[in-house]
Amino acid sequence: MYRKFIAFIILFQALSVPLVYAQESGYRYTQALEAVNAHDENTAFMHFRSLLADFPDSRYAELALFATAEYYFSVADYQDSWQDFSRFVNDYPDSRGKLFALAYLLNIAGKQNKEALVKGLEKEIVLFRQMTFLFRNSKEFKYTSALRKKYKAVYYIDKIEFYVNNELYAKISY
Amino acid sequence: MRKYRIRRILLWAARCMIAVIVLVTALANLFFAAARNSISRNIDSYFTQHVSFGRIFYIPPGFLMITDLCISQERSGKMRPALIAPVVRLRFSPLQLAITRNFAILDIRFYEPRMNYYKFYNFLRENFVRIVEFIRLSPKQDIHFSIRQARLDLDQKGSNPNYFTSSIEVSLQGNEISGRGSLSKDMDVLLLEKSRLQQRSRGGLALQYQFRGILENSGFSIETLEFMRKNLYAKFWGKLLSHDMALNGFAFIDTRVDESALGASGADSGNQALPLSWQSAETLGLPHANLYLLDINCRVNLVFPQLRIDHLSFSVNNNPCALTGSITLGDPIGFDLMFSSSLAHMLEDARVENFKKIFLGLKGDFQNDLFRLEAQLNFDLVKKKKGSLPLEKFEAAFKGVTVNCGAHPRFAVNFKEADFFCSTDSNTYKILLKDFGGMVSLLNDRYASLEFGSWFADGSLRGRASFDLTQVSPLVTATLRLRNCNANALDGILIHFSKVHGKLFSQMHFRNSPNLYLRGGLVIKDGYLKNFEFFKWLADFFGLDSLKKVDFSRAFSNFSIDQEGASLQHINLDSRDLRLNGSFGLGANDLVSSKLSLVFSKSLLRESPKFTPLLRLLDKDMDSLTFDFQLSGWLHGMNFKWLQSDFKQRIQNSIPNFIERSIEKNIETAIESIDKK
Repeated sequence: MYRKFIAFIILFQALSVPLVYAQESGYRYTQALEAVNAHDENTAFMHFRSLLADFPDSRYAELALFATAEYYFSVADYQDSWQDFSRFVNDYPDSRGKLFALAYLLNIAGKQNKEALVKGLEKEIVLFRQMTFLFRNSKEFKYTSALRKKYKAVYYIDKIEFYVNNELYAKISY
Repeated sequence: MRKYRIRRILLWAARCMIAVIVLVTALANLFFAAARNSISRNIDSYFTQHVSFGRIFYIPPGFLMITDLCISQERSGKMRPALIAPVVRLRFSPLQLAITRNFAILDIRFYEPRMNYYKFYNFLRENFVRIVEFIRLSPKQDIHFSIRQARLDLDQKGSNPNYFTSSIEVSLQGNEISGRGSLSKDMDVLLLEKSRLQQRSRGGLALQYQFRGILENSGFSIETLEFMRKNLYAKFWGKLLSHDMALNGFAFIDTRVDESALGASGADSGNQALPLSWQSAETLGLPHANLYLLDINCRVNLVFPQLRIDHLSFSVNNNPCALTGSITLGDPIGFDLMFSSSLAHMLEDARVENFKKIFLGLKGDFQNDLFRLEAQLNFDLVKKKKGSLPLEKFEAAFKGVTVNCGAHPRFAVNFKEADFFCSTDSNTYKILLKDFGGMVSLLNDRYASLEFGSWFADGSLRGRASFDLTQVSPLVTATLRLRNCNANALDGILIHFSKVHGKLFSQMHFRNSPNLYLRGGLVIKDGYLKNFEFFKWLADFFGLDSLKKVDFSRAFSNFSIDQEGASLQHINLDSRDLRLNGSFGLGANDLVSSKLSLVFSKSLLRESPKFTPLLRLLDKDMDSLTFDFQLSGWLHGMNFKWLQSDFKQRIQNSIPNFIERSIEKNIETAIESIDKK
């Protein structure tokens, strides 16, 4: 009986670690969202960053990484923003936010006059999705980030427009 | 009285001396007159060519004058002169002759000799060993040798108005040999003077040179050998030991100088005597030189008639170049040369900046104004920069090439076969030309033109090109015309032609400056498209198997290729059941921009089960259906948009929105699946 009790304790400990991990990362994420709702982006950024540092494998890491990259961009820290968006594109290739991360990277490359990078990113964005327009003139893809920013990509037959909170922030014509 | 006697003695002595001189002169001249034929025979027997002269006469105190010296060779039973020297003056020391009985020549001067380059070359070639032996056995003594205003005619028929004028002075004092001279390319021109045509000489820009060296037991040490022209300064030094010559040096050249202007301004420069003063490169403005040949290092082995270049390296504007091979100075003159270079630095700031390596191999011979050769030319290009040619590699191999220089400045260029290959970052291109015949005209030093015709893709290619040679990379404009070519045989240029059959006719214009472009139009007659990607895509998409082979009587399109990409405009294809109009552009990164209009006949549409329900929407009296659509995006995964039309409007009106979305989704999936194939 005593042995069974010890085995139960060990098993409980082993199972509880990921639960606690998930709970703790969720708690940090919730704290970050509360700061976002309070329009305190600086505090939200601190929570997202600590979430990424302490729980890199958390299911909230994808959202947190996009949010930190967004934050860096908003404070004109394009170098860190570039690093985080690049990491996002590589680590989460199937994310709905990938298209918008590429658009951010395109925007930064344009600001830094890196012509070759701009061309490469434009190509990657154009190849990202093949479109067919039979009855409509455009198609939209949306994404909402953890910082509660609303993204929208509008595909036309020969151009793509990117909006954040309904403001145009990148455009590709081809 | 005594004074009178001395005066009489002196007078008598002077009379005696004059009498002796007159007597000696008379005797000598009588001797030379009498011995003329035997002297001529002796000289003649020494050389392979016929050597003759007019007269030899003695002028006191120590001059021998030879008139009308002529070296000629027999051809077709006639004696044809290789060298004519109106006057040759030899100076000797009568004192030395009287005391030591040694006839030592101190000075040899040729005045205005005239020679035919080719015939004189034959003379030198055939008597080279004898001449070298003669020089070797000659007593070592100080001597001065000069040729004033020698004229070298360049062709064998005497019809070429261009010739070289050369002057040279060489002095040997002890072991030190020094000399200087000039060489210019001149031209006979006819000028109207006092209502009469007069032949006048127009002087080219002279190349002046000077040298100094030391004779050694086994060779010759070249201390300095300098060449100078208004746009050139070069200096060399080295050693000639037995058959081996080692030479080092450098050269500055200003290629931007207008030589024709310089030639005109220095009209008589070619006829000038030897340069009186030697100017430094700086005073000639060569600090503005744009071509620097530095670190010239040459090792040559000369065992006549074979000149073997063991090693020749130099840098052109800091770009290393190398030349190896051999030249046979025989008849014909043979050559087997390989040149290689890296030109990345040289063209860094030039218009075409992406050259990396150049290799040129030439093997052949030259005889009677005719080059016969095989050639290989390879270019490697670095990754392109914006505005540069999009090439990565260019290779050309020529077989059976002949270049006839007899009608200078026009050159007839022919070759049996030329194979061109080039690759860009995305494609490779192959062109095969056969039985090429062309005429290159050098209009002047700065412009050239080429007219040509050739077999090409089972048809003919004719064209005309002009070259502006004032740039490092020539500016080329060309017009080309294709006739009766097999469209299918053009698949080496564009892989899509492998699916096109029919007779192709085209006219195009090419220019490489200020921006590279190729524009033109093409017509294909009585042909068909088999498994052409676009129609194959349509056939799969709409279930119209007939589109896998589309017969047509005439297909037409304009095309343009430039740095931005390639495009087809005004596409027009008429087939029994199909009509296609529109444009298709392919830009950088394989991005497509296209608007096309497809007209399907009703009978064709009936083949497709997908169209059967749609046909009900058509008016009964309509016998065709028009689809206007736009393509864009990546070539291998194009976006597709069905443009607005009455037919589309009618379909939209007849189906609810959710069906529209469903159809759109299904078609999107279908298109993606076809593209993935």
